[in-house]
Amino acid sequence: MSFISYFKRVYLDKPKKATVPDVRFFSESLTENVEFFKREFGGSADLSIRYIRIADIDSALITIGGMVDKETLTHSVVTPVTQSEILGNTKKEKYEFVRDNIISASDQVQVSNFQDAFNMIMSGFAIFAMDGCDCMLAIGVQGFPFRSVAEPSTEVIQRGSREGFVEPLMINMTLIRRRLKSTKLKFEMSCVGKVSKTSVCICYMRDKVSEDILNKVRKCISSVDLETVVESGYLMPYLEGDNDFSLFSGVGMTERPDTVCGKISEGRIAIILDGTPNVLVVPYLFTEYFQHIDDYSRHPYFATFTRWLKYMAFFLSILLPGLYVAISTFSPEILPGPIFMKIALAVGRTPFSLMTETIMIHLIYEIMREAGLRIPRPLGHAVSIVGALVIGETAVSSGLIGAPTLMVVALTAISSYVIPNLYEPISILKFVFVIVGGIFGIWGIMIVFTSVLINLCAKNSYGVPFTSPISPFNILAMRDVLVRLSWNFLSRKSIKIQDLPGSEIEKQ
Amino acid sequence: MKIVARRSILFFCTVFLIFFCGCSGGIELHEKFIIQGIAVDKDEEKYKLTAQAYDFQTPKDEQEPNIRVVEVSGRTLLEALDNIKKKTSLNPVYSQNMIILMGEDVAKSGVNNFIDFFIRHCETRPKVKLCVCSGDASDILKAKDGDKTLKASNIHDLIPDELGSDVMHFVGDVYGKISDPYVAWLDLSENSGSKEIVFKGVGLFHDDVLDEFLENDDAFGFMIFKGIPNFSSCVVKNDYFGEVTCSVTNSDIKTVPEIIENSYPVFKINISVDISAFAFDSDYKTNASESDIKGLEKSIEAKLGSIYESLLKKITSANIDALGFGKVMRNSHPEYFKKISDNWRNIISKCKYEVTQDVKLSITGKEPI
Amino acid sequence: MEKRPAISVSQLFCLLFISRMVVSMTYGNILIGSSDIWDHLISAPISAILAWIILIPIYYLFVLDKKMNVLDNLQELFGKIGLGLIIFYILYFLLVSFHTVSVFEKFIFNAINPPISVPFLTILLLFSSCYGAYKGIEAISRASGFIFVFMVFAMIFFLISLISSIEPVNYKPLMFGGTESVFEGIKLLISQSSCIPAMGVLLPMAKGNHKKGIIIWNSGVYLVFAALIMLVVGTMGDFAQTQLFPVYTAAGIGKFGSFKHLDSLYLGIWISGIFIKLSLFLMLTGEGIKKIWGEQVRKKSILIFGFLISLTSFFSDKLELLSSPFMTNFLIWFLMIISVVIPLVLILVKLKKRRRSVI
Repeated sequence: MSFISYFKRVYLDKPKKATVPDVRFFSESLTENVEFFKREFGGSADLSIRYIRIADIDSALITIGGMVDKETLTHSVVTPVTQSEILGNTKKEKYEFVRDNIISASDQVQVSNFQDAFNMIMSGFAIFAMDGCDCMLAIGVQGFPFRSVAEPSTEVIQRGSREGFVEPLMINMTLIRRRLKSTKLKFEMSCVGKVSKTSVCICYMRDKVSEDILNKVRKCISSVDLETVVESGYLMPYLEGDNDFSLFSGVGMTERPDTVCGKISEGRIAIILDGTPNVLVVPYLFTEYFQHIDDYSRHPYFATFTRWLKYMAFFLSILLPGLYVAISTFSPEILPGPIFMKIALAVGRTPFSLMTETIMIHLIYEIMREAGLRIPRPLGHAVSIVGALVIGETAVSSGLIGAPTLMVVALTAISSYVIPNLYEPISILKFVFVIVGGIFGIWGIMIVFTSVLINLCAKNSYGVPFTSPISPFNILAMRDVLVRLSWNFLSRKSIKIQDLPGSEIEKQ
Repeated sequence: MKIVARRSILFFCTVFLIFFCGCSGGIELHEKFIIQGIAVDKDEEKYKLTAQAYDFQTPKDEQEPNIRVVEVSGRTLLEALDNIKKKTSLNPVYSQNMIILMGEDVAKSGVNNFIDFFIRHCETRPKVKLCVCSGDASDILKAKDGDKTLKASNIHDLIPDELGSDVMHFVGDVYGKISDPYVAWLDLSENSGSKEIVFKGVGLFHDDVLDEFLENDDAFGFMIFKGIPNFSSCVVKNDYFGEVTCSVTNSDIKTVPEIIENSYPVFKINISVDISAFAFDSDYKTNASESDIKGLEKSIEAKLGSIYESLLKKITSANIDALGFGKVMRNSHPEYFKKISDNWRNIISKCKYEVTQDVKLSITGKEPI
Repeated sequence: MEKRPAISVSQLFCLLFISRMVVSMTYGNILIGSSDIWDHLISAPISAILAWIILIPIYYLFVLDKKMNVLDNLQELFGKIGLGLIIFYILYFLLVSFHTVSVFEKFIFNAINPPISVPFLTILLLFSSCYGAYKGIEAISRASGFIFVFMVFAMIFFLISLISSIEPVNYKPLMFGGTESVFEGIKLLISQSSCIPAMGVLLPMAKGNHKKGIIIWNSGVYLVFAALIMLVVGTMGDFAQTQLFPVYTAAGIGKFGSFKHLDSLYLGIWISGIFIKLSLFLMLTGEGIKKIWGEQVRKKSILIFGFLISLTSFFSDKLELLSSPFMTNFLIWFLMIISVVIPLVLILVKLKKRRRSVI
């Protein structure tokens, strides 16, 4: 088989639609049902089955070890069913008596097939089964350990709430509900991952959301054909919608419940995945990368200043190294005399060309950054020492690398931290611009920059232009883009995402 | 399959672009001979060219690059410039060039013979200062202050931007064929063993050929006409104050041409100057009255009047229009100027120039106790 | 039904403004020959009025049916002959693309002469423009919004940097050398009005007040052009006549505080503008192709045309013809046919058909 046909078969052929597994209903025999459980779990060590005899009927309590709170299980299920008098003539009547009068757990659902039972049991429910009944009771006695609500390390703020999302979905939903005490707030549950069956929740304000966007999101989630979904990043390509390549993502990600509340009150939709603190937000526009929750609690003038700093930092981080190489190599006349002299002196003393030098330091920096992320914390200092000494000191003093180049790379690196959400496109683009600048000079940089601009402008996030409200332009929306006006002005008229100019969404 | 084909095309295009385009075209900064100043002289039939540039192979402990002066020659200017590469193995870059110095001989043989390069070459800039030197221009570019060569940037700073002594004004005047070009005149002077570069005056051209130099009071008057303040000072004698040194802080010229039937035009020139008197040969008289100061103003007017008269006579008698009277005439009386434009150069000396003055005097500095 | 791309009138005219201004920015000796730049100050308002007159048929055709562009009208009213006439539009848009690339190369060769391979730079530009054309009018017009802002700021910057260098004595009386330069200027400016036929295709795509847009755009284009002449002549005087690209040279002498050599800023804006213009005209060529041969051929044709145009960069020395006076005359005739004659015929046929259907 040729490489191309192999490549096509593996990557380009649409996967066949997964067949829906047959639903298997419970039988009336407890032994048969329990055997099926055992068989399906393949003797897994964490499956725990406790047989109880209640009013001369064989019963079983099926749980997954570690996922239930044993104390609650004992108090609300085991003690009542073993110590109470069970009324009823038939097995079925006795089961119904237990369900309605004995078990004191507040959260219980009746299930009738194995698939539902498996989902429940693996979500921390206890399954109560009685012989002679073709249905079982899923009792909410979840008690698995989880991380407590804490400030997210990736989105640190100066003022405002210190609460960040955690892994369990229900807690995340509570964090949002507590902030938006509105009956219009709706959570919609579904499930993704053929094997993992991970719960996913779509969260929106009923009066703000566009039905069109909502349907698109539902469709995107239902199109997920992954076997396991363990992180919200897995869903991003499906939520992006179109297949057009773009460096920038139209799906936002946050760990802060207050950010999510702000977004959904503008008509956006949040997607919360069980097991991850990263909540996705759609539609997500380019300007939102520069907005931070801190902006809204600061003085408007300072928030405007920091916003402009972010815009500048973005352009600096993608263009500075490329322009530095291009101008120094091809158009030195642009540089002011003294700066030009310093660069020329430094370059004259180093063995590599400016482009090679810049790419090299960038690569070393990226390696160190990655190492800094992955290295066990106690060893972190070692990385900083090596970085500071080897690159900062030795490379320059030994004459391998010029000080101005190092300075440019350092400035670029610092600038890219100002907008951490854009780090991925920035890190790639800066390399692209260095190479283009080294080959084609500033003329090439301008051509590639405009191509990137076209790429950015061609993107739509759920029918809303990614670059809106700058282009297509909306003067009202500029109150939170070019400047950040005070809340007196921001509160006067709310702008829903679907109302932005260029939006293809029908107004409701 | 289509996607594969499209991606393959893109991939190969990228590879093609990266490997086959002018990667080698980029020249590193230290491989360039970044010229700061050029001196052009003529040695018999050859152009002698002196170029000053930075030497980026400077030892490590030096904070500033050394200055390197290269002398080359060729039958044409381009040939001489090409020889820079042969001599230094570096690529000459003209975009940082700040000044072009012309020797007296080369200026007298016609600037058009070599200036074309500085108009057309894509790296040269129109605002590069152009000046003429008495004797050889290379002497100025090679001049040393102690051990160190004087930087071209320092020579450049000597000439005020407002004078318009640059390639753009020079070529514009030559091309326009109405006004005559002029450039700054630099000279070397000996001062207690070390050499100094002096902005001595102005070199006047007839078309592209150097005609004469203006110095001292004539140069002072020329600067007033061009609105260049603080060029130099003039000494005025006054009965009450004695000898007073004055400098011009501001000047404003208004020229109104008048056409007289069957005669040559009259240019009515009003010159307003702000004068600052700052040095007196004797003790400053604190009890100077208003009329004494008026008297000083009159003395200054008389002195300036004689400077203007001498300057206008010198320039117009040589049929040189360095003060732009032709352009003023063209703009105010276009139809009349069309008739005389072919003969304008011969008319300059026959026109009348009536100068009126408006002097504003201010006595500056601390009052002596 | 096929989804029509929708842009706003302001986006459309930003796009057209950029496409028009990039040509004005390279205005100079190569295009004007020996005529006096200063006299083109009179050519500008006359050309503005002429441009309005030339625009009337295309605008009226659009008013008759706001959902159909010239190409749709040709197909509907003339059937297969109409499809044949569309080829004229395709050829015109291609010619404009060729012309733009040839000006780009001339500029790069003469004004910059970079140490890089110019043909390959042209190939990079063409491939990127094909990408823009492939992405469609929405992407191009949105990108043009950004570039328009850069352009306006750059122009303000130029104005501030040059205004102190203006010497009033350089402003000689208009038409000092006769009226010939004025006529040459008008001819040149009209021949460069490639945006007018483009409007025939683009107007139905834009939502908003078209009339207001046309008036502001046309006035803006010629006002900026007049301002450029004032700046160039005021700062450089007769020296401007010796320069191949006087606007570029003027940008180089501008000084604003410690900012010098603003030609780099000029270059940045100009290259982005050229990119946008090429993308637009390649897209318009694609629209014509789509009308005749369908969507699949459109996508391929953009790449093929881009490739063909880029090939010409290897023979740029033989392309003198593109910037010759012959080309100026040819472009004017071509422009007249496709933006006046054909739309007028379409209007007549359309009105006749309507009258018949009313009877």
